[in-house]
Amino acid sequence: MARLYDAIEPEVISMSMLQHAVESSRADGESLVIPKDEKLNFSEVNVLRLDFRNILRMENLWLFSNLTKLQMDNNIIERIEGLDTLQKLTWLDLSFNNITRIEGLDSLTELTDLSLYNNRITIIENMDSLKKLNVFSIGNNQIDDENSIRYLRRFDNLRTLCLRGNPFASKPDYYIFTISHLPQVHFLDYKLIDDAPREEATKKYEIQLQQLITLEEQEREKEKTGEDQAKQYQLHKDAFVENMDQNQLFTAMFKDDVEGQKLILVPGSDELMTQFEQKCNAIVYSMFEFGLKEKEIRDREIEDFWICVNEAKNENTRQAAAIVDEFKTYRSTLFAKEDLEQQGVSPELASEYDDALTNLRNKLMALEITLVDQLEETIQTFERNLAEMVSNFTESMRANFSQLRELQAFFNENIINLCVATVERIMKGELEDEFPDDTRELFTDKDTIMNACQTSDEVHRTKIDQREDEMFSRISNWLTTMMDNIHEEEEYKRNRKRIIEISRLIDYLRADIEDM
Amino acid sequence: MTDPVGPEIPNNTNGHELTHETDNDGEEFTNINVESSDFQTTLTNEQQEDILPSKPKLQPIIAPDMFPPPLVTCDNPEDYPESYRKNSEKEELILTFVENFRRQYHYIYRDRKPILLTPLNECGVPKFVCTTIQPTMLAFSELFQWNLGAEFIADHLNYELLDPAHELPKTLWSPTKVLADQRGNCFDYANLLCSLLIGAGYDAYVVSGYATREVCYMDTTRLPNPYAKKKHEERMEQIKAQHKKYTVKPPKDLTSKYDAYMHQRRLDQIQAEKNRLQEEENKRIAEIEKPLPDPLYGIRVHAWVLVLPGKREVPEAFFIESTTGHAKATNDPEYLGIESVWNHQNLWVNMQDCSNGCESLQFDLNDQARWEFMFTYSTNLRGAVTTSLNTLGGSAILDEEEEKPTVETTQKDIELPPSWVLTLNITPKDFQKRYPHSRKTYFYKKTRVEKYAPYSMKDGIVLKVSEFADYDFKELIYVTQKHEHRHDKLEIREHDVRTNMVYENYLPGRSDHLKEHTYGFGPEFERIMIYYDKARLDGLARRHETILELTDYFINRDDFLEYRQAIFEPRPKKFGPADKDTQRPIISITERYGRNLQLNANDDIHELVYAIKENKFVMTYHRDSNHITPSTRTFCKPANWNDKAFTIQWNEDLQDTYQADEEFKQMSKRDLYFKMLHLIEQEEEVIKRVRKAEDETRDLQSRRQQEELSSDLEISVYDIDRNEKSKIYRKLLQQKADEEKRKKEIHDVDYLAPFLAAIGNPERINVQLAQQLRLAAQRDFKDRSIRKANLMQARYESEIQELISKQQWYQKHQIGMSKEDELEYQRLCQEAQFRLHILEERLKRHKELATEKYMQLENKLNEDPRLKEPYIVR
Repeated sequence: MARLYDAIEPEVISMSMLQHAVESSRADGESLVIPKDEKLNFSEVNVLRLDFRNILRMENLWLFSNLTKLQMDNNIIERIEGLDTLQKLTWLDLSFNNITRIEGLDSLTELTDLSLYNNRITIIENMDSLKKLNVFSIGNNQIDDENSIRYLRRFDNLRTLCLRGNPFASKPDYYIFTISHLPQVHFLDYKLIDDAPREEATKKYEIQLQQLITLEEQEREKEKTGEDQAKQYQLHKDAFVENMDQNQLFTAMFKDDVEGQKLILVPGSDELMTQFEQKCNAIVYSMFEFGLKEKEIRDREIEDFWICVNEAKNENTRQAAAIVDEFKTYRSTLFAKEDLEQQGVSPELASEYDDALTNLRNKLMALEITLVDQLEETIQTFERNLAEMVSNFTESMRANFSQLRELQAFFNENIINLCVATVERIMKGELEDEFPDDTRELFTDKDTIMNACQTSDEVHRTKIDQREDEMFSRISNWLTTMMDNIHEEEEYKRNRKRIIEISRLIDYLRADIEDM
Repeated sequence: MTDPVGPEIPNNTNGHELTHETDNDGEEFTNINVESSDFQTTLTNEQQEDILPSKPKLQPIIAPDMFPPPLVTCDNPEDYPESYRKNSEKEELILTFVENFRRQYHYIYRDRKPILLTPLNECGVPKFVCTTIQPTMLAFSELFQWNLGAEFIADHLNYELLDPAHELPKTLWSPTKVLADQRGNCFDYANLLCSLLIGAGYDAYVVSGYATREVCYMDTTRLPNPYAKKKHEERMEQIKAQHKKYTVKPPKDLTSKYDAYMHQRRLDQIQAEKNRLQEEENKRIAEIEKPLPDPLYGIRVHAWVLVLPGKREVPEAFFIESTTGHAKATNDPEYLGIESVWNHQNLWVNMQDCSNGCESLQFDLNDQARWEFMFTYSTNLRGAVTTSLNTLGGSAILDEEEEKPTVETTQKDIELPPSWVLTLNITPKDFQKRYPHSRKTYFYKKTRVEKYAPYSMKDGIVLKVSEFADYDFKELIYVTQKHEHRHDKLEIREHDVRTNMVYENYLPGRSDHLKEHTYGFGPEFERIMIYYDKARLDGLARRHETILELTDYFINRDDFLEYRQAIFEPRPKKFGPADKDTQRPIISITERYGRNLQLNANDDIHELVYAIKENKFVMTYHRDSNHITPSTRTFCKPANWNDKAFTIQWNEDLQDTYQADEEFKQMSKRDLYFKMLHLIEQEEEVIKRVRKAEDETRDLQSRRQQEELSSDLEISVYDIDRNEKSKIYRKLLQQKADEEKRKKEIHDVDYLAPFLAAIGNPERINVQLAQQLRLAAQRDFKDRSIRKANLMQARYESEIQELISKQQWYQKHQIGMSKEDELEYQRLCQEAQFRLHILEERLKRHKELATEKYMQLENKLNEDPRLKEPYIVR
């Protein structure tokens, strides 16, 4: 049983405790044969045991980024926390603690074994991300709820489950309920589940299970469509034409347009409206399609570029590696000769080797310089081409946007005309009763109505401008980011790395002979 | 009638006339103005007598040797069926037609050689060649394909030459006799093959013509060896020169163009010199191989087979040389001319000029200018359309120059009688034997080929190809043997005599999964073994062993091991037999691994060298695609590594690491230490594996020797002829059945027999006798039962007596008896009681059964027909 924590002083996870824990896990007498490293590297530790230590809070564990197994049983932990960085964890033991709620496990996607035995948990929840869960021990807790069992249905890999010692487990139909609702589980409460009782149980709960399955399927479908939509949206976004496949822009134009919404209630505006909508949508849709097409072209271009760049890099690397290999065979024959003589390196040999090394270095450097030149040129061409594409895209889109604006102007003119006519008619006393009150206010005189029309026009124009600006700024951003990245990675960083590698190699090979 | 020849004859204009003629029962009809230069048999079955005399031009000219005296060429003509010994009426009639045809042909083309029409068969009876073809489809799927069928015929028969070589044979044996004797001349070959091919649905013809001496003599020594290994065509690797948009510019080429030019020129010169030499060599060889001039060139008679396109998806006409089974093009220079071709329905005479051999011959047999047919058919074979159904002009022949009107007769189709030859038959046994006496030898250019039927040789050999360096088959250079049904699964063995290397190929199914084995003899031994790697648990694909090296190649292993090479120290040279027991010390073992994609390239070992002699481990990791150098790590074994008592102390000098990149993970001292310990353990393991591999190769050698000695052949369970086991089993079954039968006979033993014998086995008996017999039988049975019961009773009693006496003896000597004796006594008592019990049981059973048996006997006696009217006993 979990102990009461006021009986003993709780402890804090400190550096010395961790060090002690790591070292104690190693074999006895090891320190005698292996000199200690200056500093313990926590990120290399895979297994950590922190049991029976009266720990109250889970903290200071973020250094163990490669931890796969963590044992913290028999402490007085009350909250699961501080596990977000331990993403490689597959085994977590938190049994015999004072945990009341399942939480803080969201980042442990690799977890297969989880023990929460003997805690104070009432509901099984917040475990959706543990897709690989295989063994789950939740015995001796306060679970008293069918829904918690149903919740476990989502773990397809769950094979072993312990529920013993919960209030729910003492109910009469606990066993058959569990085995019928969790067909993936093979072992329940340390016992293998036989097929025959399971079949019986399944029959008993057939109707409920059917309903459950239908619900789950619906959910899954929903999820899937949601995913698809998100994917689609992402695609559109990458093509810079998101929200342009339907009438979103048109709706947006009128959404924030208070005046406009009133204006379109003017009799006779229906026709104008539909016309406007149709034309507007046609233009927007053509822009949308054009955008997708352009994206495809750009993608192909980028793919082409990368294929060629990688080819060139691989070819170059291959050549360089061949040169290095050749040198190594040369070296081994050289030293083999040396071995025969059974004496130190003669100065002639050393100088020969030194010359060969210089030669090797020159060759490798020459190769690298060639590659740098080649890549530079290719990247330049690529940049030019891509910039051209982007500007084409922008030009074409700009033309479309101006069309939209014209359309808006035309629409506005028509509306003004209509409104003026309407005002005149109202003045004359016709059309008395067909207006809602707030609309009628606008039509009291000509100036008001003109103002309203202008405001509406303004709103619409702003919307269009906004969309245009957004599109253009994003595409130019995209281009600069990508090109900067390419320059940075392919020209600068790659080159640096290679040069360092060459000098490392030369140094290493030279040290070789100096040792002798 | 305008044109009496060919299938178009019965056109509309003469259709009426023809029917009319038929109605008028043979009224003579003169055909006017026949433009065709063709000649034709003009006979009908009814009218020939009338016609012949009516044509003065066609007076028979009988040469003295036209019908040579019957020449019986078989030993026992009387054993042959009648169709062989006699001609039916219909055949006689056909023979007359043919004779007429021949005479006309001879008359018109005096300078042409006679054609083979009615040779004698083996019983000395003239038979028309078309009827000698008996289209047959045999029950061997192999004979359904022309190439396999032709090969079979070539293999199955022994070839005999024509004598004399420039004349047509006088006799043509029936295909049945050819098959039975397994020998024949070229006509027999062609005839038989044609029968089979037509039976298999081909449009095949026997060709009678002229060929070169080499073909006529079936001299294949100038042909290249058909079993020569096909050389690997080196596939040119096609590097796709796709020029992509962003392909980088190649680096500047700074080499001298002039140098390259000069180099190329020098290479060209060398190549030209080589070509010249090669050409000279070729010429020289051609000179050697050229056959001697042939005095009989062009008049050597030969027969072969022609296959025309149209059936069985044959795309174009070709010849089959029936003596060798090879296909030849129709313009093959070996064939010098064609006189006639025939199948089972018709015969065509070649009217084309053969001065250029067969090169320009056309094989459209409907073309009357080129091929003259003997019979026409209304439903023509060659697919021409005819309008009249049952009439045709087997039209009269006109000599063109004479323009003599001939008699056009009205007649039905000339119907060839069915072939006089019996249906061909090859027994499965003969078919399997394939060659005469189960073996045959062929000679090709510098090659001798020996073929054997499966199971005929003890070592399972079916084919042996010996290649020689010279044309006289003296200097052997290469032997290829093919085996079948061997227990050790050996399929092919090649022996290169010059290098003394042997190459063996095995079928799957060996316990060691050996696939290929290449080895040599002599001290410089080197062997390459290739295995069925999928069948082997260790994935071994290839093993290469030389004196100082043992190299294994693996495929598809879970641990990604691909290669392991062990290098041995040279064995100190000793005289006397090399003792194989001492193991050669290992200098080093190298293992190479494939890329395990689940690891980083830098953590994935590529090569691991256990330098055993130097006490070192050299590890080379895989090269990351972004780096030009692989990381390496070297461990030196500490001095006391071998001593289990000491723990190994870690020391920085023990290892040396080169990392291609600073950013790569550094191993901690602890990891390095354990890595080294692990390597030391692993080394032991690897040495064990190498030793095992060594043993395995040695085992293989000895096993192969054993297998060579005990070369039994494998027999399929389905092969009832050869499978001894199944034979024994069947015999056993037979025996069992026999026994069963005998038992039944014994069971139905005749109970009256002894009594009948007592009265002298009469044929009949009377009532009294019957009564007596019955009584005697009953009495006898009773007596016997009583005797049996008495016997048992007596034994029972004597047993009891014995027991009692024993007991008495025991009571007397009870005191002072040893323990063993007492035990002995008890045992004896028990045995005696057991015997008593058995006897008692038997007696009881006998009593029960006796009455029952008596009743049975009575029933039988009551039902026995011999004891009833009319008392017939025998």
